[in-house]
Amino acid sequence: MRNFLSGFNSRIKNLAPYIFLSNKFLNVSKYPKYDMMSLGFSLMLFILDNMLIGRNECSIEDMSLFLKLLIEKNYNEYLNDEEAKELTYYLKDLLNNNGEMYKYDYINTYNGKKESVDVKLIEQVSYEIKGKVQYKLTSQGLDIIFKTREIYAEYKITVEQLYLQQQIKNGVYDEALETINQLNASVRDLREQIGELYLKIRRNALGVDIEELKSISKKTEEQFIRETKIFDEIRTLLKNQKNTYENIEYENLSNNDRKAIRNINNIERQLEIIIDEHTRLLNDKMGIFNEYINVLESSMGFGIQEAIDFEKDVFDEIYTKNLSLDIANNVLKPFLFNSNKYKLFNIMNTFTQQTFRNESEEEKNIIDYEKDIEVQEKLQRETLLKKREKITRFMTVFLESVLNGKENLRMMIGDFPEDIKEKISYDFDFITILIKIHQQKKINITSILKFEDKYVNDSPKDINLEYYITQSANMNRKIRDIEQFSLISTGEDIVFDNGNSIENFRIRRRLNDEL
Amino acid sequence: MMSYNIDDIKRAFEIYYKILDKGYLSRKDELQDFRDFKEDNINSIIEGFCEKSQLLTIIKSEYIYIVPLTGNNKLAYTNEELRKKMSLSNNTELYTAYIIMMCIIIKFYNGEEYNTKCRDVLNITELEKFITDKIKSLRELDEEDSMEINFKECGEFWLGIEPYNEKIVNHKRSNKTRFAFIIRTLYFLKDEGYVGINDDKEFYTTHKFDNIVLSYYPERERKKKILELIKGEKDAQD
Repeated sequence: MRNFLSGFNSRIKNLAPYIFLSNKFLNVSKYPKYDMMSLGFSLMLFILDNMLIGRNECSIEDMSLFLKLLIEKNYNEYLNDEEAKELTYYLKDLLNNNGEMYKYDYINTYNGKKESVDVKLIEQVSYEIKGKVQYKLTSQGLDIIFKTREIYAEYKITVEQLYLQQQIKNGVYDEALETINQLNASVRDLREQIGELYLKIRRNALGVDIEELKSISKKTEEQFIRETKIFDEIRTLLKNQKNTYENIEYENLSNNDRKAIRNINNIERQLEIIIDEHTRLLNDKMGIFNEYINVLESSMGFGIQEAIDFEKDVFDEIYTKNLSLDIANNVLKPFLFNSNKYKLFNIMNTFTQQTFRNESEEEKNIIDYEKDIEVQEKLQRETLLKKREKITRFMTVFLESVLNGKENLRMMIGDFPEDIKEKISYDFDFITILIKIHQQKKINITSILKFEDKYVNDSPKDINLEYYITQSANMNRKIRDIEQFSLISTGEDIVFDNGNSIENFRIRRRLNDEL
Repeated sequence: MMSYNIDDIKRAFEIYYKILDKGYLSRKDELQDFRDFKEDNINSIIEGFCEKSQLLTIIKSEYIYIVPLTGNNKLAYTNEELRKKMSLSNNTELYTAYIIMMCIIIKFYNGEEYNTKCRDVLNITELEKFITDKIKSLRELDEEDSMEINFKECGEFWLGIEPYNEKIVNHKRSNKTRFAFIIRTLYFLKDEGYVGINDDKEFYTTHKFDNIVLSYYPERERKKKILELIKGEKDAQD
C-alpha cells in the first residue's frame, strides 16, 4: 500500500472528536431555540479555563451558573436554578456521551482492517463516595480545544520546522523525511490561503475589511520573518551534519552512516524546494495590500456599485410579468458577444489547400439523433410484437398438448406443427419456457387466470410465463380446463438432428380438487 | 484637448481588435498589451471605439474584457443568431436557454451579499431541480393567462418534458429532456469561455463569467437601466 496512508489510524484518531461533536450536537432536538453546539463548546472552554488558572476543577453548579449567565447575555432570557441545572446536565451528557466512551468504527484503508477509536472529551475528576463531583477535559478534549485556536494554524509551519530541527539534531533522518513532506504540505496550504485571499480581493474588494487586511499583512510579515529564520537554521544544521560525515573516510562509513548521508541529501534537496516556495510566497503576501489598492482603484473607475438581487429584481420580474424574449436577450447581453459576426469571405481562400472536416455531419446529427431514437424505439416495439406472437403460439400449442393428455415432451413434439417442431431444436425462447415451467414445480392455471388482466410483458428480453399462459387461454378457452400441471424430470434426453438436446420431461396434470 | 498620433490609433485598434477576437486580455499572458491599454492616449481611443460600438470595457486587476451593452445587436447574438448557433428549433427553446443562463447567475452569485460569488461548482441535476422548483413556485404565484408566447409558456414547456432520459447517450444532441437543454446551454457557454464542465455532471464559472457578472450588473447606472427596461416593457404591456 502507498506510504501516504501509513498514518491513517492516527489521523482518524485526530478526526474522531470532530465526528463525535457533529454527531452529537447537530441532531439535538431539545432546546431548539438555543445554538447547542455553541453552548456545548463554550462549556468546554469554561472547563478549560477552570483547569488553567489552577482552581479546583468545576462542578455542575459552577457550570450551571456559567450557562445561566451565558443564556442571559446571548438570549436575554433568565433561567432559574433548576432550569439552568437541567440544561447543564443535558449539555454535559452530550459532551461525555452519557458517561459512556464513544466508539467510532472505521475501516483502516492502510491495512484494510476494521478498527475503532474511543472518544471522550470530558470526565469526572474523582469518584469518592461523599466528594463533590467535578469535571475536567480529557487529553482529547484539551487537544481539540487547542486545535481550534487561530494561533495553532499560524504556528503550524513553525512547529513543524522545530520538529524537523530536533529530528535532524538527533539523527532520526527517516522520520525527518516524513516531517519535511508534511512541511511541504503546510507551505502549499499557505499558498492556497494566499491565493484565496487574492481571489477574494479581486472578486469583491469592497467586501474585504481593510482593518482585517492590515492586521493579516502585519501578522503574516512577522510569521514569515520567523519562519525564514528557522529555515536558515535548519539549512545550517543540515550542512553541519553533512560535514561531520564528510570528515570520515568513505571506507570507514557504516551502512547506517551511508543511509544517513542519502537521507540528508534528500532532505536538503526537498528543503531547498520548500524554501524557494516560501520565499516566493513572502513576495506574494507582501503584495496583498497593493493588490487591494489596485482593485479598489479599478472599482472606483467603474462607477458606484450596488447590490443587485438577480433572482427577485430580474428573473422573477421577467418571468411573472411574462416579458418578451428581447428583454431576456438584452439582460443577458454581456454574455452574448459574437466575435464571428462580421467575418468576411476571402475569395483568395479558394486557391489555398482545402481541408475537409466532419463538422457538418456532426451538426446534422443533432437533428438526426432524436430521429434515431424514435426509429430504435419503433424497431424495439416491432421486435416485441413479433416475439409475443411467436411465444403465444408456442405456448398455445404446448398447452393444447397438455390438454390432449400427452404424457411426455417427446410425444408432444411429435404432434407439434412442422415449423414449431423445427424451432424447438434451436429457439432459445422455447427452451427457456420449458425450463421456467419445470423450475416452477407446479403451474396453477386457475390461479393465474384470476388476475389475467394484470400481467404484462413489455421487454423483449423477458418471458413472463403468466402473461403468455393468459394469452393462450384467451386464444383457446379450453386450456382453462387443464387447471394444474407440472413438468417432471426423467433424466432422459431428446436429441435433435442439429445435435442440441433437451430433457424429455414427463407431463403431470392435476385437477384443483386433487391433492 | 488631447491629441492623437497615427501610431496611437493603430496600437489602440490592435489592442481593441485583439480583445474582440480573444474575448479578453490577460495581464499574465499579454503584459505589454495590458500596460498599453492603460496608457491614457490609447485607452481613450479604445474607449471611443467602444462607445461608438455600444460596448463596455471591464477592467480588472488581472483581465480586461469588452462586452456588449444592452441594445447592442451589431456585435452581440440576436435571438435568431443564437437559435441557429445553439441549434434550437423555436423561440420556446431559446427562452429555455435564457432561463437556464439566468438561473446559473442566480445560483452562483446569489449569496447573502449579492455582489459576491457564493459557490465554486454546481451539479447539473441541482440546477435542473432549482429551475423546476422555481418555475413551479412562480406558477403558483401568478395564475394570469397571457395570449403571448412568452416566458410562462416556456415554463410549461420545461415542466412538460422529462428531467432525464437514460436512453439518450449524447445529451448535447438532444432536445427532449431538461438535462439535455442544460447541457446544450452549458456547452454554448463553454464555447464562449464562460464555464467549464466536468464529465457532464457539474460545471464551474470562469474568471470571464465571474468578472462580468460582478462588474456589469451591480453598477448603479446599469442596474437602473436594466430595471427600467423590465419595468418599461411591463408598463407597455399594461
